Amino acid sequence: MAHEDARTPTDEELVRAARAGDLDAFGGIVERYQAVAFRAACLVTRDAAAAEDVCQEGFLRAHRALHRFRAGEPLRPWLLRIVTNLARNELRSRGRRLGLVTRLGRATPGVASGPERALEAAERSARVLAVMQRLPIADREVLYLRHFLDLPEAEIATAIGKRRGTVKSRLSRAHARLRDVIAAQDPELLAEGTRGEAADD
Amino acid sequence: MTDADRARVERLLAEAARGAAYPPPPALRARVLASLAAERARAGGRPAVARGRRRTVLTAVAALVAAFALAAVAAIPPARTAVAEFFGLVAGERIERGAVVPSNLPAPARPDQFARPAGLTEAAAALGAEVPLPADYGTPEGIFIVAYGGHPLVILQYPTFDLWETRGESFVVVKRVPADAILSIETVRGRPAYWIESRAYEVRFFGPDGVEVLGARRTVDRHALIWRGEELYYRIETELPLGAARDVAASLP
Repeated sequence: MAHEDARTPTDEELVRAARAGDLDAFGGIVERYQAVAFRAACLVTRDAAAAEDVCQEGFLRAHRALHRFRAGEPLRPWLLRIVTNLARNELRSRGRRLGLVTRLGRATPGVASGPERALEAAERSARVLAVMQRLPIADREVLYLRHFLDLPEAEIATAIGKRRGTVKSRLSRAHARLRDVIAAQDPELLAEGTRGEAADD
Repeated sequence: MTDADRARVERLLAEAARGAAYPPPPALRARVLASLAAERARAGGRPAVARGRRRTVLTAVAALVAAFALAAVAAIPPARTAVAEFFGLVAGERIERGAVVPSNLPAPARPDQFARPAGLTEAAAALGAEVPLPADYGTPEGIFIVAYGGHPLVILQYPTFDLWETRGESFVVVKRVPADAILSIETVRGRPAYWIESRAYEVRFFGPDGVEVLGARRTVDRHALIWRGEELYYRIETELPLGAARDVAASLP
């Protein structure tokens, strides 16, 4: 039987091979990043089926644009930029469905220490996600990338095509707007956040 | 916004992120690769990433080539009477589903029944190149050459598979498979491939003139992995599963 090289190829190696026409190498890129791309598309479109379509189209577009990808740059934010742009377009063209909000809020947070607290936390998550829908899409996008996908600011900058300084100011503005929206729509959330802080202390 | 407010908002966001349960991610690899392989076939086999600014011109040329190929295949009698399920991804390959009933097919034939034994040197001469041998599988048990309409094909016989190799794109191989056959589009060494999983099916060989080559029709009762490499056309006929067939393909030089 043939023995495959056990070492995992780097992104750079996969990109180089894919550029040379190796479809398997591009398949490796898809496998590596499909989960994060799908999560990003889910968050923006709030529709699993639409997110799936967006991801597939995103990877096809990424393949066509591989010759424009700069060697040495991180691949993840470059792919996420393509996917989130498509997701935003999808959201604009089809309108949004909120079915995913419920699903996103159902999971039990891993830090909860008891059933009651876990339920409270899950309910709070759903409320935060619902309130976030009132923010402009540009604000939501940076919040999703930073807090839900754990991207560092440098990668967010690549993903949204802005400078790092712009990311900082946009994040700051998004936090402030979210705070204002929560204060207007669901002020109890802020109080509960404070109680959670005290409980953790 | 005060620092305390910011901390509360960030805390709520962190909690919401931890609590987010996403639908399971779809398995996109196969779908993306199938689309890319189809794109590549439509564009005449060139990878999309290499086309760059010449895309428009090349797409037009590829469309002409594809139109020509479709016209050529449409001239073949079976193509006019059956709908091809898989066509275009692997040049010269056409698969028609539901066109046969396995129990009505003649008994399958092995290479020693329709091809003549040969040595590696003669096989290389027939291919016009050194014969690619899969590594790690030892020496083939048998080497055979068969000429369909003057077109030489080399068959390397191993204990668990036969590996067919030939050169040229002027022929068309039509596979007529039963309705319950499993057909899938795969990638082998970065190139599109067909996988046929079936009890039995019929293989017909058509020359560049679109006329079926007499004596080339045969029944195959094993699975097949088919793809076109840079220079040669390959077919692995085997009872092994797809993964094992891919291992054989991957071990070719």
